[in-house]
Amino acid sequence: MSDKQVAMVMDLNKCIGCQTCTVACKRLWTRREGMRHQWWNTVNSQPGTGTPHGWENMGGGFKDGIAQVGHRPTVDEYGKAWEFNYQEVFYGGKDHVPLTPVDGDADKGPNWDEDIGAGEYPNGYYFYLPRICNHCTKPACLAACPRKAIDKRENDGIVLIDEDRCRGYRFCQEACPYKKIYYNETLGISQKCIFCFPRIDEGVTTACSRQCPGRVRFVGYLDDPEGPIYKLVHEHKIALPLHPEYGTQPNVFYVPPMSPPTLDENGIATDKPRIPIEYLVSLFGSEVEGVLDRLHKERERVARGEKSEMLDLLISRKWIEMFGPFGKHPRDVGGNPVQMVTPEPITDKGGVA
Amino acid sequence: MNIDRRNFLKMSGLVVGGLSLPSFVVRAAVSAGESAIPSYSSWKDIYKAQWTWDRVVRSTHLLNCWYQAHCSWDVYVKDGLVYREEQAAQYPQINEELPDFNPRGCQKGCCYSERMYDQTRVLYPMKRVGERGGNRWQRVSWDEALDDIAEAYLDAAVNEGTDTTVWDLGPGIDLGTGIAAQSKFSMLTQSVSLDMNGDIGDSHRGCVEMFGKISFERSADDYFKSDLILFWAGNPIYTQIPQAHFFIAAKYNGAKIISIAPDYNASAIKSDLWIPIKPGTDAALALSVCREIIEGGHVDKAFVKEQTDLPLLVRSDTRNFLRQADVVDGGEERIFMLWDNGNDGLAPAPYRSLALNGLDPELDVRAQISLKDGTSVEVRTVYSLLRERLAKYSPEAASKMCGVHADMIRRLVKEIVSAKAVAGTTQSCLNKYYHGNLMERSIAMIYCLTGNMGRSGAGFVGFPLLTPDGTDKFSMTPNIREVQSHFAKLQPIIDQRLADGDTHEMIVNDFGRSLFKPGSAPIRMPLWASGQLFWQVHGDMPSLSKNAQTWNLGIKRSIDEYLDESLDNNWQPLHPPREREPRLLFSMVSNPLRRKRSSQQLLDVLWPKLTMAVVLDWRMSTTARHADYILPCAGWYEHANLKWVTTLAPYLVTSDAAVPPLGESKTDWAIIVSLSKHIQKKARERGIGTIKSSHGLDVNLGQLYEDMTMGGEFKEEDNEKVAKAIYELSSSFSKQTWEQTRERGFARFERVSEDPISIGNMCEIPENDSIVPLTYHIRDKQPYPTATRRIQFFVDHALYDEMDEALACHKEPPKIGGDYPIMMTGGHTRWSIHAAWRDSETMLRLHRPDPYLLLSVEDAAQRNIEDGDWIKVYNDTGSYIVRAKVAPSVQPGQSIIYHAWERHQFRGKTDMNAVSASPLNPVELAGGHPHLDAGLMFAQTTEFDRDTRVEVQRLPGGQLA
Repeated sequence: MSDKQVAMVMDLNKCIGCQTCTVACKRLWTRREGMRHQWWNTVNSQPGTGTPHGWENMGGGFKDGIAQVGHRPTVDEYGKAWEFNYQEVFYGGKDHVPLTPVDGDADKGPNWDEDIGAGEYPNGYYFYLPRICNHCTKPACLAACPRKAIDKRENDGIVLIDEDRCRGYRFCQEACPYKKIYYNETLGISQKCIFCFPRIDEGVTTACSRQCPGRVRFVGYLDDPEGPIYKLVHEHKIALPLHPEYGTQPNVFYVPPMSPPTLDENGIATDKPRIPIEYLVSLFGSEVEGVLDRLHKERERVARGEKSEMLDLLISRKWIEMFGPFGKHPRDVGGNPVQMVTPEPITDKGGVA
Repeated sequence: MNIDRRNFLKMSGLVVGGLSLPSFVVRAAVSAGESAIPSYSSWKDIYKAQWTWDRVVRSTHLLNCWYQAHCSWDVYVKDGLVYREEQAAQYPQINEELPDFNPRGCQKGCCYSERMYDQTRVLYPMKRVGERGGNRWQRVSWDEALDDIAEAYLDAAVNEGTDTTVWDLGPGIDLGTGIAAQSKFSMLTQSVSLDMNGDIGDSHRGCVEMFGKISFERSADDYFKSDLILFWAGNPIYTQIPQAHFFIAAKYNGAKIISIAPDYNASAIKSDLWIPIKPGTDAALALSVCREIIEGGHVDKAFVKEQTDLPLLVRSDTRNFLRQADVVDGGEERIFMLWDNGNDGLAPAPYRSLALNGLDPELDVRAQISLKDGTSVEVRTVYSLLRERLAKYSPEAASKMCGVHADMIRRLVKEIVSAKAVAGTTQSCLNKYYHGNLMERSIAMIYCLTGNMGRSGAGFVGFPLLTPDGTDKFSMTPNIREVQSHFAKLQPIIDQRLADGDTHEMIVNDFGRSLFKPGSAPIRMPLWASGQLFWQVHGDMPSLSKNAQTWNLGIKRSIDEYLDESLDNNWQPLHPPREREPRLLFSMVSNPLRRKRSSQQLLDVLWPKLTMAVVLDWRMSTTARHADYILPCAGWYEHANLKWVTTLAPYLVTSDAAVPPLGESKTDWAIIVSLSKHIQKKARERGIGTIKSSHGLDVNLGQLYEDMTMGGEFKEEDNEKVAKAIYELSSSFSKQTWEQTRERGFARFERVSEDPISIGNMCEIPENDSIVPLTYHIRDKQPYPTATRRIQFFVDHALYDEMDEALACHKEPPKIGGDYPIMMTGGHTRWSIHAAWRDSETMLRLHRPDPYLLLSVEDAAQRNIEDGDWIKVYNDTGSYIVRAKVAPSVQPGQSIIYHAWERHQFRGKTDMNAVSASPLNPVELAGGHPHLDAGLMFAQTTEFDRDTRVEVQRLPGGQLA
């Protein structure tokens, strides 16, 4: 389908749950009418319901190549974008009106269970999981659209919804097993992460990756042997897809999270990491145990004074190298003004003269 | 046919050059005389257009991000509006070995472009209508507002004293143009500037006691060189977002992270080992570690003999240091004594330099000696006393105090002593516990005992701060061309003190101290006072602690008695004094009614004393809502400025005007200079010329504006000129001009500035390497600014002796607020910098829209509380209503409410501060001592809230009434 595939690796050890990626995407793209509740990038504390709440049980994707029935999430399930009664609070002339959502007490938002996780004190555990559209090799959304309004770019595999062709049927929302497609009620179309294609086309990496202060994300071509993506996914094999069993071949990969050991009933550390391996296997597949083992061993080697190409790659001393061919600075390439045209004269009947 | 809005727009449009555009757009464009309209050929053009802009400006966010200050951002402007921002990310790599600093930033800065225009923004001067706090406002002109304020100012200054006008300087002070204005105003008028550091709970009292200063911190990239990083207290994953990657990258570079915290917080999840501890008991754990270090033979003897007071002798009769004057005729008070193995006798401790020069101090001494009058006294080294003190803290005994198993204590010791370079991250958590000083000292002792100080990747750190020192020079000079000659008046004192053996640091520290003592310096200074004492005394806060004797504070007399003693002896600076009342309060970059514990008390007691409360801010805040006037400040993308940062990221970062100030807002500089103009005008109208300050200094109100503008050279509209002047007067930037720095957005500090709050770092700022603090002491043997010129394990002050805190010890966390089962702890939220984003829609949408208290699963279950339920939190001090958030990461017996929720975000009339009485800790009232004496931003009293005890109760049905 595509000659080359652009891909992303996220190191979950680096993710600190700050949501700068989420806000970067929001401030750049999802600020038009009907997009207020859309968060093309999300970060959730796992285990948790995530957004939409309980998305991992909403079906979609493929099983043995066959498209699976999926649930179409509602705005409430994604988490409404509350608006607040500032005017009343500050200027309403009453002694104490508290700041509250104008629609009444809030249902759960998109990051409701932040820092909760699972387990029992003192062995609770959680980590942060950032997610974007995976720009899958076998997109369930593309297959589901009866208008063929979803396309996968040939030159780089970015999956895009044609907003002119879309009629808002929303089969794509049902089909996507990652539930990363939103519906715009004002415009009547489905919308999702565009992998910042205007930036990518100029050689600038995505906003979510460039603006991440944690230096979590690598961006590059999956099949480029010189690039960090290839090395992390194919060579060192420490970056794994999320829920590979969904069958869509996602192109976002994760380095799984290490965790401190559990404590026994006396508060003494055991040698077991507190994130249960079964949980990580359920997310990333059976290779995850081997990956954590390799990370552990490489750390020990480095502590002994040896060098590790794998860990040097994860460190990325030169930040810009995390983005491979997309290392241009926005100020150097972007900002091309919108192209202007001269309109033809109009008649009173509203037609062209 | 599908008629929905989008299709309607499409179909009714005109086809223009192959596109569809709504006809009303075309008509509007044509009728407005536009010759061109945007070209759209497909939906893709809409997205492409979203990534276009007219201008980009380098700027930053001028507030107190504290450890995170600051980040260089590109601000994108379109059609005259700030559209979005993105990190500039152009920090050069320091050297090949270290990860670079890019990109910095956080989610909050990432949406200031939205915040600056949201409904909380204040656009024009407003005067209250009706009662204070009535939420009714009248828009007024600047002239009207400033005239009214000027009149009130003159009434107070002339009739009641110049020190009845008080500036509440909040954590948002820039030490740039804003403070330049306020500082000059305070210097000229002798109005009071409140030192907020203890007030906000960042006192680092333990550092004061041990090091005689608080400001010393490494650069964040230095953590990359550590072998063991201790996240001991604090939550750097929440509070050091832009440089958290260095800690995590260190793990890939051979380091281990150990986290010590009551709850499994967001930083603990990144650790290799998390050690849960009972909140407030960190001293017990640290002292046990110290004991094991000493008894296990892991003390770095060379380090402690040279750099600490451990070898110094203490008299058992006076429980104070032995002085040379005690034992030798003609001996000096300022020289301390040790036992030299070489001569097997007493020897004076080195004075001008810490270098031992052949001296071999014995560490463990207990001996009888003769004083010069023949009396025989027992003397013991601090080390000997320390060993005796630490005997109580075996791992088994300490375990009972702190809840950490003895084997885990031993494990922690093993990790520490087997690591080559152990570094701790900075935190402002401990000082918010009543006995935080003991906790901080005990932890610092670990690093000192093992010599983990002053080396790359190693060391205890205090309070990070790095300032452009041009601000002081700008604000205190009468004329911009006289800076050199003006400050030259200090030179004789400097020369004399250097000749006497004092260090630059000691001299600069004392320069800072003279801010609190009007008339004590040869040049005129602004007048500073302890912020915390101001609120406590003039707000009658001690009355909230009338039941303190049941709280187990561990003090020997009543708080009132200690306070009286301190004030009677002038140990702590309080202006105006007890006997007089404040009249005008200017709250600048601050929000005291939001942050002060038991803030309602301030509204009840302090506010009625004020004839005028003026808030300078860019947004509506809790304090603004109770003001008489709100004066709108220019936002951070609306003016050029420079600001303090920290050694963690040693880059001066500048703001710039991407757009002009919104509405009628003005820069802080312009507001204060304009105010002085109105004061001068009104003074002349009223025939007021020069009056005397409350301390006898001349205050020329008829010339105030002339003096503020330095003869008209820096007028109200000259904010940028001021920024440039400050930059050029600063000693740390020789490689870039102001214009270059403003355009680039940042400049790396070349050296630590010589002002009271930065100099404590006492180190170089290498161009091509990370920063290691305190090397001037440790490598170059310069004495510390303490009474003994050494790191002091022993604190020689009568109050410490009374409280048995001369040496650190563990004290049970008091039950502040009453004997209730749950300790209400807190922390800095990830979701806002103080209150600046607390009620931002975008931020609230990304977590929860109401304040919440985190509870353990066990405590919640016992009380039938579920996640999301409304609960009442109460104790003897007060109560408030809040939502419950239940999490397995919270320790049973602990609860957490993160900070900075505005009052208006609470459903009830009270807020989270209602349950915290924040009693004074008497040891902090000390003064009249070489280093336990109020200094600039240190050695004053603190706000405590972490020991607050509460009970929580589910509201009926978990619902609001």
